Amino acid sequence: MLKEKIMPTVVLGSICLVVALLLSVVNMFTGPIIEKAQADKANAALTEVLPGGTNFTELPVEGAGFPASVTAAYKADNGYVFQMTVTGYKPGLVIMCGIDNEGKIAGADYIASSETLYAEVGLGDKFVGYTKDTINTDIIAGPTAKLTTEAYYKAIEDALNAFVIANGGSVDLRDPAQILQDNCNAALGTEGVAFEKWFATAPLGEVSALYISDKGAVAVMGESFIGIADGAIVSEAGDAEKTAALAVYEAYKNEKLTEVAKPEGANKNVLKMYTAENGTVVIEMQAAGYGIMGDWHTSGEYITLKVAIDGEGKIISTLTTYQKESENIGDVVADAEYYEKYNGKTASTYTEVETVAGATVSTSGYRTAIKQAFEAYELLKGGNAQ
Amino acid sequence: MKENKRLSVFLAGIIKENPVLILVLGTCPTLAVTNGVISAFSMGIAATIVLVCSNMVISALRKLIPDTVRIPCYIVIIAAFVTAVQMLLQAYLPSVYDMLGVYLALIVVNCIILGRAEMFARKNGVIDSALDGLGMGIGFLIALLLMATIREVFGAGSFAGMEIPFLVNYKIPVLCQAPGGFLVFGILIAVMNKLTAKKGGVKRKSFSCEGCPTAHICNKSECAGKTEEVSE
Repeated sequence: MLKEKIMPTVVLGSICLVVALLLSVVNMFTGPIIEKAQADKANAALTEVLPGGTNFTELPVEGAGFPASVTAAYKADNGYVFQMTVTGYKPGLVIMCGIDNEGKIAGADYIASSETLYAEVGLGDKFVGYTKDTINTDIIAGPTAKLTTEAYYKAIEDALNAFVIANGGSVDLRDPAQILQDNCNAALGTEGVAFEKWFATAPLGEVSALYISDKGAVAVMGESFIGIADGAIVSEAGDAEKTAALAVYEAYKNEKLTEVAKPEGANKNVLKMYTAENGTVVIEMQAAGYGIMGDWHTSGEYITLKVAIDGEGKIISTLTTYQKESENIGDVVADAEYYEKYNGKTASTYTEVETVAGATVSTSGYRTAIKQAFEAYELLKGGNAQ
Repeated sequence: MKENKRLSVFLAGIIKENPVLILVLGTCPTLAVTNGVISAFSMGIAATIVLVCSNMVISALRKLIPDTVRIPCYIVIIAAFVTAVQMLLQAYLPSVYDMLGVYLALIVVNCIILGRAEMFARKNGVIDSALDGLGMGIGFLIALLLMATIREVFGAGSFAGMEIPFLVNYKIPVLCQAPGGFLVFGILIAVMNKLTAKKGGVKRKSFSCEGCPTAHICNKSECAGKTEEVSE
């Protein structure tokens, strides 16, 4: 009885013991090899972006003050590797960036992506050699896969910022739009007020832009932000700056647009026209971009824009008000960086703004609309109103 | 006489009692790893090593292992060999280890191995058990290679990863997927049945009673350890 109960336990226990001993012997031989192989595998990804990197140690990311996109950080003898997760056209674009001890980008590549246009492939190589001071958006210049390339750029910028922080420095991690809003608030002595760029209908002179809010306005001149509240300058500025800022503010306050009939012969893409007392003509246009000219699967919608042309026939402001062009491609027409290139152009120089390769249909349509706006302007100035 | 018996033990697993095509055992790894010749070969070798070693150890310990705990003991022994093979592959052939993935660990519950332990090793000597394991392992390996060759050559237009130029444009990709695996498996079983039927059919043993691990506690009269012979 005792044998029946004890023997099975003893035999099974003994087998387990012997097996455990034998496996520990096998593990003694294979364990170090497996560990080394796993470490080599992990390091291979890191040395891809930081060639020659040795002794990688993972740094804590939580509470390190790195940009939010940094999801992992490694320190090696010759620099750092940062892993960023950003959203391009789709979420989950994971980028590794190696930065050497001098702050130069040693390599960058993506390790996960759901992007659709493959713009991320090989893009990392273009960043090699750049530093925090020299990196610029020319690296990603091009029309296609804008969301992808911009997200990639942002990730690399974050890696460079994380490098500074990892070395004990401090970095302003606010995005440019937030910095602009904060600078406007600082100039006006307010907090959390939202500013909107004025669609200028009068020449701005030395002022590059006027931002308006219900608490006042801020004129931007170079790197200076000049606050204007109740018609008076409220921030430090030189006399010349004050005069220029107030002149633009006055133009904004006195802006009075009157809708006028479309002149006879104006293109059907001219939607509405307004005139200002200073002779500026504001024209609302529709442009036949890829949404209209493209294949059957396009949006079927026009791009709409408005353009202000001063009394001398020079464009003061351009603004895209609506577009449904292809995401990541033709939607370049919604970028201020693109449409503001028309500012300062005339009927004879607007063609200097080139169409964007890859978004040719959208930008050609846009340029045609600018041409039609100038034609309508000329017709209106010629007194041929309907 | 004894040598003839050992030869028949060895050869049984290759054709007469081929574990995959006659006994239809180990179907899961068979379908999973036969989309490539290299993975099929690796799985066949790994399973053969485990089969031979576990058969030998179980046979050697057959008189020591009490009936009541024999299945847990067999599982522990088989698991030990599988774990050792896993460690060795991971250390020395990491690409094969990655290729076989979870199916390597699943050799532990491969019914060919447990079935041979229960059906053969616990009743026979060490050498016979080793030969049985080797024969069954080679039979398993041959079946895997045969299936993998058909699936890779016609499904991927390659053999062991090497492209076959004149087949590249005539691939049948479904063969590399699960439905293709079932299709080829079914065709091979049908061909095997046809071939063996010409020679009077293979006599198969039913595992319903003799091989049943709980037969000794089953009170049904039909579970008296009798074997049923099926002739085709």
